[in-house]
Amino acid sequence: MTKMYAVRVDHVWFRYGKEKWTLKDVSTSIREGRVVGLVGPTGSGKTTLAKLIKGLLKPAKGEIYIFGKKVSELDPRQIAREVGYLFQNPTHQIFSLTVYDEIAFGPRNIGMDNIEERVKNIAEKLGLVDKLKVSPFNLSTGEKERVAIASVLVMDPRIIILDEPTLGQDYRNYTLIKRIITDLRREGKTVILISHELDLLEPCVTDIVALKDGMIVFEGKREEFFENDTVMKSVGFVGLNIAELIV
Amino acid sequence: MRLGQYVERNSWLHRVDGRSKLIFMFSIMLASIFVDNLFFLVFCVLLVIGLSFTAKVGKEFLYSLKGIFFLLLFAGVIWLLFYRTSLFINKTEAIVIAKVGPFTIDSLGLTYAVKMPLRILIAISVPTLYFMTTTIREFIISLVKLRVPYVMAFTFGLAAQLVFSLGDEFEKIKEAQIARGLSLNSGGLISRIRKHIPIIVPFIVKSLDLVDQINIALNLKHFNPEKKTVFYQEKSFSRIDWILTFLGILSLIFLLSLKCGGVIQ
Repeated sequence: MTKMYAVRVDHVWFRYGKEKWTLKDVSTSIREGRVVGLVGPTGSGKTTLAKLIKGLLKPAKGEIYIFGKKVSELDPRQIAREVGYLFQNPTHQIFSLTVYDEIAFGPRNIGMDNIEERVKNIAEKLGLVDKLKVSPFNLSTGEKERVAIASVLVMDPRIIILDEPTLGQDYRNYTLIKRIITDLRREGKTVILISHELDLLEPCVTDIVALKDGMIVFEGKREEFFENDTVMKSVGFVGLNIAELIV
Repeated sequence: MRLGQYVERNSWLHRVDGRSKLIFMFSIMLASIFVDNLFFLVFCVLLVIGLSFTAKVGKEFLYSLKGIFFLLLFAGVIWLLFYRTSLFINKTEAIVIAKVGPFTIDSLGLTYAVKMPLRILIAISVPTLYFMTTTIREFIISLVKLRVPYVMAFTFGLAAQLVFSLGDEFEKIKEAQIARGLSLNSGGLISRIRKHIPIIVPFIVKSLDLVDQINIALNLKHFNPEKKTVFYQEKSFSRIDWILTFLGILSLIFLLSLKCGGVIQ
Protein backbone atom coordinates (compact mmCIF):
# COMPACT_ATOMS: atom_id res chain seq x y z
CA MET A 1 0.00 0.00 0.00
CA THR A 2 1.39 3.40 -0.90
CA LYS A 3 1.66 5.83 1.97
CA MET A 4 0.08 9.26 1.53
CA TYR A 5 2.01 12.49 1.58
CA ALA A 6 2.33 13.95 5.06
CA VAL A 7 3.55 17.26 3.64
CA ARG A 8 3.27 18.65 0.14
CA VAL A 9 4.80 22.00 -0.72
CA ASP A 10 3.46 23.25 -4.03
CA HIS A 11 5.34 26.06 -5.85
CA VAL A 12 5.79 28.17 -2.73
CA TRP A 13 7.24 31.68 -2.83
CA PHE A 14 7.89 33.64 0.33
CA ARG A 15 9.56 36.85 1.43
CA TYR A 16 9.61 38.89 4.63
CA GLY A 17 7.89 42.21 3.94
CA LYS A 18 9.32 43.83 0.84
CA GLU A 19 12.73 42.18 1.18
CA LYS A 20 14.18 39.80 -1.43
CA TRP A 21 12.60 36.37 -1.86
CA THR A 22 13.54 33.94 0.92
CA LEU A 23 11.95 30.98 -0.89
CA LYS A 24 11.66 30.84 -4.67
CA ASP A 25 9.22 28.42 -6.24
CA VAL A 26 9.87 25.63 -3.75
CA SER A 27 8.10 22.33 -4.34
CA THR A 28 8.65 19.12 -2.40
CA SER A 29 6.74 16.20 -0.94
CA ILE A 30 7.35 14.22 2.22
CA ARG A 31 5.81 10.77 2.61
CA GLU A 32 4.27 9.72 5.90
CA GLY A 33 6.69 7.99 8.26
CA ARG A 34 9.86 9.42 6.71
CA VAL A 35 12.54 11.29 8.64
CA VAL A 36 13.67 14.12 6.42
CA GLY A 37 16.80 16.15 7.01
CA LEU A 38 16.25 19.75 5.91
CA VAL A 39 19.73 21.07 5.29
CA GLY A 40 21.43 24.10 3.79
CA PRO A 41 23.68 27.01 4.66
CA THR A 42 22.56 29.69 7.12
CA GLY A 43 19.95 31.95 5.51
CA SER A 44 18.98 29.39 2.87
CA GLY A 45 15.34 29.35 4.02
CA LYS A 46 15.16 26.15 6.13
CA THR A 47 13.44 27.67 9.16
CA THR A 48 11.18 29.75 6.91
CA LEU A 49 10.04 26.61 5.07
CA ALA A 50 9.45 24.84 8.39
CA LYS A 51 7.39 27.78 9.70
CA LEU A 52 5.34 27.78 6.50
CA ILE A 53 4.59 24.07 6.96
CA LYS A 54 3.53 24.82 10.55
CA GLY A 55 1.29 27.66 9.32
CA LEU A 56 3.17 30.33 11.28
CA LEU A 57 3.91 32.16 8.04
CA LYS A 58 1.77 32.46 4.95
CA PRO A 59 3.24 31.95 1.48
CA ALA A 60 3.09 34.85 -0.98
CA LYS A 61 2.38 32.36 -3.75
CA GLY A 62 1.76 28.62 -3.80
CA GLU A 63 0.16 26.26 -1.31
CA ILE A 64 1.17 23.83 1.44
CA TYR A 65 -0.79 20.70 2.28
CA ILE A 66 -0.55 18.50 5.37
CA PHE A 67 -2.20 15.13 4.91
CA GLY A 68 -4.02 16.54 1.91
CA LYS A 69 -5.47 19.55 3.74
CA LYS A 70 -4.51 23.12 2.87
CA VAL A 71 -2.57 24.67 5.78
CA SER A 72 -4.06 28.09 4.94
CA GLU A 73 -7.54 26.73 5.71
CA LEU A 74 -6.67 25.26 9.13
CA ASP A 75 -6.70 27.15 12.45
CA PRO A 76 -3.74 27.01 14.91
CA ARG A 77 -5.42 24.28 17.00
CA GLN A 78 -6.00 22.00 14.02
CA ILE A 79 -2.42 22.53 12.87
CA ALA A 80 -1.08 21.90 16.41
CA ARG A 81 -2.86 18.52 16.41
CA GLU A 82 -1.08 17.49 13.23
CA VAL A 83 2.26 19.32 13.39
CA GLY A 84 4.56 19.71 16.41
CA TYR A 85 7.33 22.28 16.21
CA LEU A 86 10.37 22.38 18.47
CA PHE A 87 11.97 25.81 18.08
CA GLN A 88 15.61 26.82 18.37
CA ASN A 89 16.05 27.85 22.03
CA PRO A 90 12.72 26.30 23.07
CA THR A 91 13.26 27.20 26.72
CA HIS A 92 12.06 30.73 25.87
CA GLN A 93 8.45 29.52 25.68
CA ILE A 94 8.28 28.46 29.35
CA PHE A 95 5.76 30.42 31.45
CA SER A 96 3.80 28.07 33.76
CA LEU A 97 4.13 27.73 37.51
CA THR A 98 4.84 23.99 37.39
CA VAL A 99 6.41 21.60 34.90
CA TYR A 100 3.10 19.71 34.80
CA ASP A 101 1.19 22.82 33.68
CA GLU A 102 3.87 23.67 31.14
CA ILE A 103 3.62 20.24 29.51
CA ALA A 104 -0.19 20.25 29.73
CA PHE A 105 -0.46 23.70 28.06
CA GLY A 106 -0.61 22.37 24.49
CA PRO A 107 -3.05 19.48 25.14
CA ARG A 108 -5.39 21.89 26.98
CA ASN A 109 -5.28 24.33 24.06
CA ILE A 110 -6.22 21.72 21.50
CA GLY A 111 -8.82 20.07 23.75
CA MET A 112 -7.21 16.64 24.21
CA ASP A 113 -8.57 14.09 26.69
CA ASN A 114 -6.65 12.10 29.36
CA ILE A 115 -4.26 14.99 29.80
CA GLU A 116 -2.91 13.79 33.17
CA GLU A 117 -2.06 10.36 31.77
CA ARG A 118 -0.45 11.84 28.67
CA VAL A 119 1.68 14.25 30.71
CA LYS A 120 2.83 11.47 33.06
CA ASN A 121 3.71 9.19 30.16
CA ILE A 122 5.81 11.77 28.36
CA ALA A 123 7.42 12.90 31.64
CA GLU A 124 8.44 9.31 32.30
CA LYS A 125 9.89 8.96 28.82
CA LEU A 126 11.99 12.12 29.28
CA GLY A 127 13.00 11.57 32.90
CA LEU A 128 10.89 14.39 34.31
CA VAL A 129 8.52 12.49 36.62
CA ASP A 130 10.07 13.83 39.83
CA LYS A 131 10.03 17.40 38.44
CA LEU A 132 6.33 17.67 37.59
CA LYS A 133 5.48 19.81 40.66
CA VAL A 134 8.61 21.95 40.42
CA SER A 135 8.67 25.43 38.86
CA PRO A 136 10.19 25.16 35.36
CA PHE A 137 12.15 28.36 36.04
CA ASN A 138 14.14 26.53 38.74
CA LEU A 139 15.35 23.79 36.37
CA SER A 140 18.74 23.51 34.74
CA THR A 141 19.03 24.46 31.05
CA GLY A 142 19.11 20.78 30.04
CA GLU A 143 15.98 20.01 32.06
CA LYS A 144 14.18 23.05 30.60
CA GLU A 145 15.08 21.75 27.16
CA ARG A 146 13.51 18.38 28.02
CA VAL A 147 10.37 20.14 29.30
CA ALA A 148 10.11 21.99 25.99
CA ILE A 149 10.51 18.73 24.04
CA ALA A 150 7.89 17.08 26.26
CA SER A 151 5.45 19.96 25.71
CA VAL A 152 5.61 19.33 21.95
CA LEU A 153 5.58 15.51 21.96
CA VAL A 154 2.70 15.32 24.47
CA MET A 155 0.31 16.57 21.76
CA ASP A 156 1.13 13.42 19.81
CA PRO A 157 1.37 15.15 16.41
CA ARG A 158 1.80 13.06 13.26
CA ILE A 159 4.42 15.44 11.89
CA ILE A 160 7.24 16.76 14.09
CA ILE A 161 9.57 19.57 13.07
CA LEU A 162 12.81 19.81 15.03
CA ASP A 163 14.67 23.06 14.35
CA GLU A 164 18.33 22.53 15.27
CA PRO A 165 17.40 20.54 18.39
CA THR A 166 20.98 19.77 19.42
CA LEU A 167 22.25 23.34 19.21
CA GLY A 168 24.25 24.08 22.37
CA GLN A 169 23.27 20.81 24.07
CA ASP A 170 25.46 18.79 26.38
CA TYR A 171 26.27 15.16 25.59
CA ARG A 172 23.40 13.75 27.69
CA ASN A 173 20.74 15.84 25.96
CA TYR A 174 22.37 15.24 22.58
CA THR A 175 22.06 11.47 22.94
CA LEU A 176 18.53 11.85 24.35
CA ILE A 177 17.43 13.85 21.29
CA LYS A 178 19.03 11.27 19.01
CA ARG A 179 17.10 8.54 20.85
CA ILE A 180 13.84 10.49 20.60
CA ILE A 181 14.23 10.84 16.81
CA THR A 182 14.91 7.10 16.51
CA ASP A 183 11.81 6.36 18.63
CA LEU A 184 9.64 8.70 16.56
CA ARG A 185 10.84 6.98 13.39
CA ARG A 186 9.96 3.60 14.89
CA GLU A 187 6.50 4.89 15.85
CA GLY A 188 5.91 5.86 12.22
CA LYS A 189 5.91 9.62 12.78
CA THR A 190 6.99 11.99 10.05
CA VAL A 191 9.96 14.02 11.23
CA ILE A 192 11.51 17.09 9.62
CA LEU A 193 14.93 17.61 11.13
CA ILE A 194 16.73 20.89 10.53
CA SER A 195 20.39 20.50 11.41
CA HIS A 196 23.94 21.29 10.38
CA GLU A 197 25.33 18.29 12.24
CA LEU A 198 26.31 15.32 10.10
CA ASP A 199 26.68 13.13 13.21
CA LEU A 200 22.99 13.62 13.89
CA LEU A 201 21.69 13.55 10.34
CA GLU A 202 23.62 10.53 9.06
CA PRO A 203 22.14 7.89 11.42
CA CYS A 204 18.70 9.47 11.90
CA VAL A 205 17.28 10.56 8.56
CA THR A 206 15.88 8.58 5.65
CA ASP A 207 15.77 11.42 3.12
CA ILE A 208 17.37 14.79 2.57
CA VAL A 209 15.99 18.05 1.19
CA ALA A 210 18.80 20.56 0.62
CA LEU A 211 18.13 24.26 0.20
CA LYS A 212 20.40 26.96 -1.10
CA ASP A 213 19.48 30.61 -1.67
CA GLY A 214 15.80 29.78 -1.24
CA MET A 215 15.76 26.97 -3.81
CA ILE A 216 15.88 23.20 -3.53
CA VAL A 217 19.21 21.93 -4.83
CA PHE A 218 18.78 18.29 -3.80
CA GLU A 219 15.89 16.06 -2.89
CA GLY A 220 16.29 12.33 -2.43
CA LYS A 221 17.53 9.43 -0.37
CA ARG A 222 20.09 9.95 2.38
CA GLU A 223 22.64 7.65 0.71
CA GLU A 224 22.44 9.57 -2.58
CA PHE A 225 23.04 12.85 -0.75
CA PHE A 226 26.06 11.65 1.18
CA GLU A 227 27.59 10.22 -1.99
CA ASN A 228 27.13 13.46 -3.94
CA ASP A 229 30.17 15.59 -3.15
CA THR A 230 29.06 18.51 -5.35
CA VAL A 231 25.75 18.93 -3.53
CA MET A 232 27.36 18.32 -0.13
CA LYS A 233 29.86 21.07 -0.90
CA SER A 234 27.25 23.51 -2.23
CA VAL A 235 25.25 23.32 1.00
CA GLY A 236 28.32 23.65 3.18
CA PHE A 237 28.89 20.08 4.39
CA VAL A 238 32.32 19.81 2.81
CA GLY A 239 34.89 22.37 3.83
CA LEU A 240 36.98 24.32 1.37
CA ASN A 241 40.40 22.91 0.58
CA ILE A 242 43.57 24.91 1.22
CA ALA A 243 43.87 26.08 -2.41
CA GLU A 244 40.31 27.46 -2.36
CA LEU A 245 40.94 29.17 0.97
CA ILE A 246 43.99 30.97 -0.44
CA VAL A 247 42.04 32.12 -3.52
CA MET B 1 10.09 44.91 7.86
CA ARG B 2 9.93 46.27 11.40
CA LEU B 3 9.02 49.83 12.28
CA GLY B 4 12.17 51.94 12.10
CA GLN B 5 14.58 49.18 11.07
CA TYR B 6 17.68 50.55 9.30
CA VAL B 7 17.60 49.99 5.54
CA GLU B 8 20.94 50.18 3.80
CA ARG B 9 20.75 52.34 0.65
CA ASN B 10 22.97 54.81 -1.11
CA SER B 11 20.84 57.96 -0.90
CA TRP B 12 21.37 61.62 0.02
CA LEU B 13 19.37 61.16 3.25
CA HIS B 14 21.59 58.23 4.26
CA ARG B 15 24.70 60.27 3.54
CA VAL B 16 23.82 63.48 5.40
CA ASP B 17 25.14 63.95 8.91
CA GLY B 18 23.00 62.44 11.68
CA ARG B 19 22.93 65.83 13.47
CA SER B 20 21.44 67.85 10.62
CA LYS B 21 18.92 65.10 9.94
CA LEU B 22 18.01 65.00 13.64
CA ILE B 23 17.52 68.79 13.84
CA PHE B 24 15.47 68.90 10.63
CA MET B 25 13.22 66.00 11.60
CA PHE B 26 12.84 67.22 15.17
CA SER B 27 11.72 70.59 13.74
CA ILE B 28 8.99 68.87 11.68
CA MET B 29 7.77 67.05 14.80
CA LEU B 30 7.74 70.20 16.95
CA ALA B 31 5.99 72.20 14.23
CA SER B 32 3.29 69.54 13.91
CA ILE B 33 2.64 69.79 17.65
CA PHE B 34 2.40 73.60 17.80
CA VAL B 35 0.75 74.42 14.48
CA ASP B 36 -2.93 73.51 14.53
CA ASN B 37 -3.62 73.67 10.80
CA LEU B 38 -5.00 70.77 8.81
CA PHE B 39 -3.28 71.74 5.56
CA PHE B 40 0.06 72.12 7.33
CA LEU B 41 -0.27 68.66 8.90
CA VAL B 42 -1.13 67.11 5.53
CA PHE B 43 1.90 68.93 4.06
CA CYS B 44 4.15 67.44 6.80
CA VAL B 45 2.88 63.93 6.10
CA LEU B 46 3.43 64.35 2.37
CA LEU B 47 6.88 65.83 3.03
CA VAL B 48 7.93 62.82 5.13
CA ILE B 49 6.58 60.38 2.52
CA GLY B 50 8.35 62.34 -0.21
CA LEU B 51 11.61 62.29 1.76
CA SER B 52 11.32 58.52 2.20
CA PHE B 53 11.10 58.06 -1.57
CA THR B 54 14.06 60.36 -2.21
CA ALA B 55 15.93 58.22 0.35
CA LYS B 56 15.04 55.11 -1.73
CA VAL B 57 13.21 53.54 1.23
CA GLY B 58 9.68 54.65 0.25
CA LYS B 59 8.20 51.18 -0.19
CA GLU B 60 9.73 49.84 3.05
CA PHE B 61 8.67 53.02 4.89
CA LEU B 62 5.03 52.76 3.86
CA TYR B 63 5.00 49.01 4.47
CA SER B 64 6.39 49.37 8.01
CA LEU B 65 3.72 51.99 8.84
CA LYS B 66 0.93 49.59 7.85
CA GLY B 67 0.84 48.27 11.41
CA ILE B 68 -0.21 51.60 12.93
CA PHE B 69 -3.27 51.99 10.70
CA PHE B 70 -5.63 50.69 13.41
CA LEU B 71 -4.04 52.96 16.01
CA LEU B 72 -4.76 55.97 13.78
CA LEU B 73 -8.30 54.77 13.14
CA PHE B 74 -8.85 54.27 16.86
CA ALA B 75 -7.48 57.75 17.65
CA GLY B 76 -9.77 59.26 15.00
CA VAL B 77 -12.88 57.58 16.40
CA ILE B 78 -12.01 58.52 20.00
CA TRP B 79 -11.47 62.18 19.08
CA LEU B 80 -14.64 62.26 17.02
CA LEU B 81 -16.76 60.96 19.87
CA PHE B 82 -15.07 62.33 22.98
CA TYR B 83 -13.41 65.64 22.01
CA ARG B 84 -16.27 67.50 23.70
CA THR B 85 -15.03 66.33 27.11
CA SER B 86 -11.82 68.37 26.57
CA LEU B 87 -11.58 71.48 28.76
CA PHE B 88 -9.23 73.27 26.35
CA ILE B 89 -11.36 73.38 23.23
CA ASN B 90 -13.95 76.07 22.48
CA LYS B 91 -16.98 74.12 21.31
CA THR B 92 -19.30 77.03 20.62
CA GLU B 93 -18.30 77.32 16.94
CA ALA B 94 -19.08 73.70 16.18
CA ILE B 95 -21.95 72.83 13.81
CA VAL B 96 -23.78 69.68 14.85
CA ILE B 97 -23.81 67.11 12.05
CA ALA B 98 -25.42 64.08 13.70
CA LYS B 99 -26.35 62.55 17.03
CA VAL B 100 -25.49 58.90 17.65
CA GLY B 101 -26.89 57.74 21.00
CA PRO B 102 -25.16 59.75 23.73
CA PHE B 103 -22.57 61.12 21.26
CA THR B 104 -22.78 64.33 19.26
CA ILE B 105 -20.80 64.46 16.05
CA ASP B 106 -20.03 68.00 14.94
CA SER B 107 -17.79 69.85 12.50
CA LEU B 108 -15.09 70.57 15.09
CA GLY B 109 -15.01 66.93 16.23
CA LEU B 110 -14.62 65.87 12.62
CA THR B 111 -11.63 68.22 12.20
CA TYR B 112 -9.98 66.79 15.30
CA ALA B 113 -10.71 63.25 14.13
CA VAL B 114 -8.52 64.04 11.12
CA LYS B 115 -5.90 66.26 12.77
CA MET B 116 -5.03 64.05 15.74
CA PRO B 117 -4.32 60.88 13.74
CA LEU B 118 -2.22 63.03 11.40
CA ARG B 119 -0.20 64.31 14.38
CA ILE B 120 0.26 60.75 15.68
CA LEU B 121 1.27 59.67 12.18
CA ILE B 122 3.91 62.42 12.05
CA ALA B 123 5.13 61.62 15.58
CA ILE B 124 5.66 57.97 14.56
CA SER B 125 6.71 58.34 10.94
CA VAL B 126 9.42 60.98 11.45
CA PRO B 127 11.52 58.89 13.92
CA THR B 128 10.78 55.84 11.74
CA LEU B 129 12.29 57.54 8.70
CA TYR B 130 15.21 58.79 10.81
CA PHE B 131 16.11 55.30 12.02
CA MET B 132 15.52 53.78 8.57
CA THR B 133 18.23 56.06 7.21
CA THR B 134 20.53 56.34 10.24
CA THR B 135 22.36 53.59 12.09
CA ILE B 136 22.06 53.44 15.89
CA ARG B 137 25.79 54.12 16.09
CA GLU B 138 25.46 57.28 14.02
CA PHE B 139 22.50 58.33 16.18
CA ILE B 140 24.61 58.03 19.35
CA ILE B 141 27.49 59.97 17.76
CA SER B 142 25.04 62.69 16.63
CA LEU B 143 23.67 63.08 20.15
CA VAL B 144 27.18 63.31 21.62
CA LYS B 145 28.20 65.91 19.01
CA LEU B 146 25.08 67.87 19.91
CA ARG B 147 26.47 68.03 23.47
CA VAL B 148 24.10 65.46 24.95
CA PRO B 149 26.00 63.76 27.82
CA TYR B 150 27.53 60.50 26.60
CA VAL B 151 25.78 58.36 29.18
CA MET B 152 22.40 59.71 28.03
CA ALA B 153 23.24 59.32 24.34
CA PHE B 154 24.45 55.77 24.96
CA THR B 155 21.27 54.96 26.92
CA PHE B 156 19.02 56.34 24.14
CA GLY B 157 20.95 54.34 21.57
CA LEU B 158 20.83 51.19 23.64
CA ALA B 159 17.10 51.64 24.22
CA ALA B 160 16.50 52.09 20.48
CA GLN B 161 18.47 48.93 19.78
CA LEU B 162 16.69 46.99 22.53
CA VAL B 163 13.30 47.85 21.03
CA PHE B 164 14.29 45.90 17.90
CA SER B 165 15.84 42.98 19.82
CA LEU B 166 12.84 42.69 22.13
CA GLY B 167 10.47 42.94 19.18
CA ASP B 168 12.20 39.89 17.69
CA GLU B 169 11.98 38.01 20.98
CA PHE B 170 8.27 38.82 21.32
CA GLU B 171 7.61 37.38 17.86
CA LYS B 172 9.59 34.22 18.61
CA ILE B 173 7.70 33.59 21.86
CA LYS B 174 4.36 34.28 20.17
CA GLU B 175 5.16 31.78 17.41
CA ALA B 176 6.25 29.16 19.96
CA GLN B 177 2.96 29.45 21.85
CA ILE B 178 0.84 29.44 18.68
CA ALA B 179 2.76 26.29 17.70
CA ARG B 180 1.39 24.73 20.91
CA GLY B 181 -2.18 25.48 19.85
CA LEU B 182 -2.66 28.91 21.43
CA SER B 183 -5.34 30.68 19.42
CA LEU B 184 -5.09 34.43 19.94
CA ASN B 185 -7.90 35.40 17.60
CA SER B 186 -10.79 33.63 19.30
CA GLY B 187 -12.91 34.46 22.34
CA GLY B 188 -14.04 37.73 23.93
CA LEU B 189 -11.87 40.69 24.95
CA ILE B 190 -11.05 39.37 28.47
CA SER B 191 -10.29 35.91 27.10
CA ARG B 192 -8.01 37.39 24.45
CA ILE B 193 -6.15 39.44 27.06
CA ARG B 194 -5.77 36.32 29.25
CA LYS B 195 -4.42 34.40 26.28
CA HIS B 196 -1.49 36.82 26.11
CA ILE B 197 -0.18 35.70 29.55
CA PRO B 198 1.79 32.77 28.00
CA ILE B 199 3.50 35.36 25.80
CA ILE B 200 3.97 38.18 28.33
CA VAL B 201 5.53 36.04 31.12
CA PRO B 202 8.36 34.53 29.01
CA PHE B 203 8.82 37.94 27.37
CA ILE B 204 9.43 39.62 30.74
CA VAL B 205 11.80 36.81 31.75
CA LYS B 206 13.66 37.14 28.45
CA SER B 207 13.82 40.96 28.74
CA LEU B 208 15.35 40.76 32.21
CA ASP B 209 17.75 38.13 30.94
CA LEU B 210 18.76 40.39 28.05
CA VAL B 211 19.32 43.36 30.37
CA ASP B 212 21.45 41.14 32.60
CA GLN B 213 23.50 40.00 29.61
CA ILE B 214 24.08 43.61 28.53
CA ASN B 215 25.10 44.48 32.08
CA ILE B 216 27.65 41.65 32.12
CA ALA B 217 28.94 42.58 28.65
CA LEU B 218 29.43 46.23 29.69
CA ASN B 219 31.22 45.23 32.89
CA LEU B 220 33.46 42.78 31.04
CA LYS B 221 34.50 45.57 28.69
CA HIS B 222 35.10 47.95 31.64
CA PHE B 223 32.52 50.39 30.29
CA ASN B 224 33.01 53.80 31.89
CA PRO B 225 30.61 56.52 30.70
CA GLU B 226 32.66 59.22 32.47
CA LYS B 227 35.70 58.54 30.32
CA LYS B 228 36.18 60.82 27.31
CA THR B 229 35.01 59.02 24.18
CA VAL B 230 36.55 59.29 20.75
CA PHE B 231 34.98 58.02 17.55
CA TYR B 232 36.59 56.05 14.77
CA GLN B 233 34.49 57.83 12.14
CA GLU B 234 34.47 61.62 12.13
CA LYS B 235 31.92 63.16 9.77
CA SER B 236 32.14 66.84 8.95
CA PHE B 237 29.20 69.10 8.10
CA SER B 238 28.78 69.49 4.34
CA ARG B 239 26.78 72.18 2.54
CA ILE B 240 23.63 70.04 2.46
CA ASP B 241 23.93 69.56 6.24
CA TRP B 242 24.02 73.31 6.83
CA ILE B 243 21.05 73.81 4.47
CA LEU B 244 19.03 71.11 6.25
CA THR B 245 19.86 72.47 9.71
CA PHE B 246 18.98 76.08 8.85
CA LEU B 247 15.88 75.02 6.92
CA GLY B 248 14.64 73.12 9.97
CA ILE B 249 15.39 75.82 12.53
CA LEU B 250 14.26 78.78 10.38
CA SER B 251 11.01 77.08 9.32
CA LEU B 252 10.23 76.31 12.94
CA ILE B 253 10.96 79.90 14.07
CA PHE B 254 8.90 81.27 11.15
CA LEU B 255 5.89 79.03 11.93
CA LEU B 256 6.05 79.78 15.65
CA SER B 257 6.19 83.54 14.91
CA LEU B 258 3.11 83.23 12.68
CA LYS B 259 1.35 81.31 15.42
CA CYS B 260 2.30 83.85 18.12
CA GLY B 261 1.22 86.69 15.83
CA GLY B 262 -2.15 85.03 15.35
CA VAL B 263 -1.73 84.64 11.57
CA ILE B 264 -2.19 80.87 11.84
CA GLN B 265 -3.75 78.74 14.56
